[in-house]
Amino acid sequence: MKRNFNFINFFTIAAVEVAIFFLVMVFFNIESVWTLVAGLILVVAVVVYAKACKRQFSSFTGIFSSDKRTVMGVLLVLLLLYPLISPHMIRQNTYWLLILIQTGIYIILALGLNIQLGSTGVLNLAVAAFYGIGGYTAGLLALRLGIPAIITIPMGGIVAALFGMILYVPLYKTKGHYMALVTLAFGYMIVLALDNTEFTGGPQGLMGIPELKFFGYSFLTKPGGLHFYTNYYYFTLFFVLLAVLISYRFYNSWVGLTLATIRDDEVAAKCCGVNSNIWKGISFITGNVMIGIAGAIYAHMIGFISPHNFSFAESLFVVAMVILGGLDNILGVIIGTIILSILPEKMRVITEYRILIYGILLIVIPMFRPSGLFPFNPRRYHSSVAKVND
Amino acid sequence: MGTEAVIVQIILNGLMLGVQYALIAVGFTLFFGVLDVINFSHGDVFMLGAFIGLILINIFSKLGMMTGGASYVFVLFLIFSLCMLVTGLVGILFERIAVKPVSSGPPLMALLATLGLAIAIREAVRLFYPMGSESKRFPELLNPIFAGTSHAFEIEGVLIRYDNLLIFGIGIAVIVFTSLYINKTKMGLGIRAVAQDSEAAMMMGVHRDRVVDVTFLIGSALAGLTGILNGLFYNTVVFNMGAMGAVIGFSAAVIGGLGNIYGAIIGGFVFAMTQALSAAFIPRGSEYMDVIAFGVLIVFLVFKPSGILGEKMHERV
Repeated sequence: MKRNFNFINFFTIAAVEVAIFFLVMVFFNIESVWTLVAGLILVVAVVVYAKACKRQFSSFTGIFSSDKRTVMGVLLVLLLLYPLISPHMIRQNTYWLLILIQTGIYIILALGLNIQLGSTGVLNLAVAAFYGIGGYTAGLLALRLGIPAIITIPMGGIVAALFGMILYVPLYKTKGHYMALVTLAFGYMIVLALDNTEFTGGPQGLMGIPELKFFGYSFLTKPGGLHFYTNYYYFTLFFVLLAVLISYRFYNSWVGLTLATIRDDEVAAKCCGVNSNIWKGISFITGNVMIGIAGAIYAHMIGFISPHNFSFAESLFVVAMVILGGLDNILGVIIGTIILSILPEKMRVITEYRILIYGILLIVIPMFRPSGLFPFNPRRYHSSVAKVND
Repeated sequence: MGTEAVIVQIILNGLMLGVQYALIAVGFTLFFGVLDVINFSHGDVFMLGAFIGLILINIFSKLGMMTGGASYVFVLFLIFSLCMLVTGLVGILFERIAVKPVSSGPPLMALLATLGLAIAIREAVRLFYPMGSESKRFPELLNPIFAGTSHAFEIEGVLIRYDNLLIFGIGIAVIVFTSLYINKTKMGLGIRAVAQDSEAAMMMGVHRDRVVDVTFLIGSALAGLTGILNGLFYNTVVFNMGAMGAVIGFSAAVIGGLGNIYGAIIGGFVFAMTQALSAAFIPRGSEYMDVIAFGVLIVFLVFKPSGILGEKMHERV
């Protein structure tokens, strides 16, 4: 089937996305708190207005929903261009580049947790522990044995998966709150063990983890005069896209459907012949591989990790991203992650009260949006068939 | 002092901690009973109790009432009960604003909201208590009581301090008193009824909201008392001690079986004993005692997935 290329649609989509892109740049540049608050209120107002008058805008939003390929394509091009444009646009350019890389790592973590918690209903309160296992594996291999990055990054995922397999034994025996406790205890166990073991550097952690290096290309070289974080930006972007792709493949296949039946009613799923223990394990371990790889990237990028980086507060941060974003809604999780990891950076102006406000938000949001900011949509099958019939 | 004496000493310390863990775990298990919510902010209510105790001690010493003498024990009693009362009322406040509104929603959201509440309490103490981010010295309140004595006695090389004995005694007394209250009074009957089936209890004329309030009053008051006892035991309190308190209290409640008050008490002692025994018998155990205790907890749940006294979970079909 040959697609007709519609110039008007293409330019509308491109123009809107470029406009949003530059608005984000402006957002990065705003320093006054009041301008920021006013801007945010304006954005929320526009979104609420657009939702209220969905009808009037349907021909406009229809362009976006009908041509997802162009939407994603333009977005990808903009993300690829970001490091080239940002030095001319943003005052604290390197800082925001680092924040974006950090956000990318959080997106990988959140998508990993989303497969476990969102798709399958396996609550993992030890995200930070698996993140730390990935980071320490990569760090120790690179630092103590001098193993190249092309091996350490996948090893981070593999070792996290191995620990996940061990933890899965108590996990599939327990349910509900007891299951939550198993992962919680595991998270504390790992951090306390890292804290007290000399081999892993104790509370000081690992220092001087070498930078990434692929086929002689060191990630400390500055491509075309840009900051060396640009390398890490593209590297993380690649893994984020991979994670998104894997998540969508999971979600749209019969695997995602199997996992959803286990989440919604495990007994009924078992009655229908779903081997819930195996599928829960597969989803748990797949999530842990993603989390472990994110840890390995983080360790190489920052070059210094300590048990403090992987405390329970970090797990809670990721759990909040997934739950507030919307369980089992990949786009929602990504948006939730972006909001929760970029907004606090802007709130640095009120540094002192940042965590307090964060805590209060965690109390307030569940009251008003009990199923997250973007609740998941039930799967719609045969939508393409319906279109043909139209 | 021989090694056996050291081991006995460590185990006695474990008992001292066990009574504190049990007091926190009772709160977790009571809240789970009436609202079906794991209230993670309970650990920070425990921390808040320690700071409320500290404030009360400061007020009373400003008033010149902490000078010793015959009335000293009475003043101490007053501080303990005031602290329990204030913490209990604060507990009701937290329940009203943050715990009950989310308890009817999805359990994950409730978990998140109570975790958010925990963060908010912790940060509020850090920001608004004078020099709140540093650890605070907790005055040794109990020493003046034993002013004339040698503060400790020795059996076979094992040193037993009178003040620790008193901490243990107070803890046990309060636990006994609480279990009597739950089992023998009308309100206790209401709490048990709501825990078993809240709708049926309401049909029988139990005022559910009042029962929930009383439960949070009791649970938070126990946590407040534990805060003071913990301060007296370690002589120092710090704003982030609630996080560990919550995890250990929750663990103890789960070991015993959620919803069962005796289970929570047993669980508290089991957890403390695991820590103490691993510190006593395993080389470098004192560094790894928490790691081992959590490891034992995980392995334990493999074999007994619903705790020691927990009800066997039924699979619905």
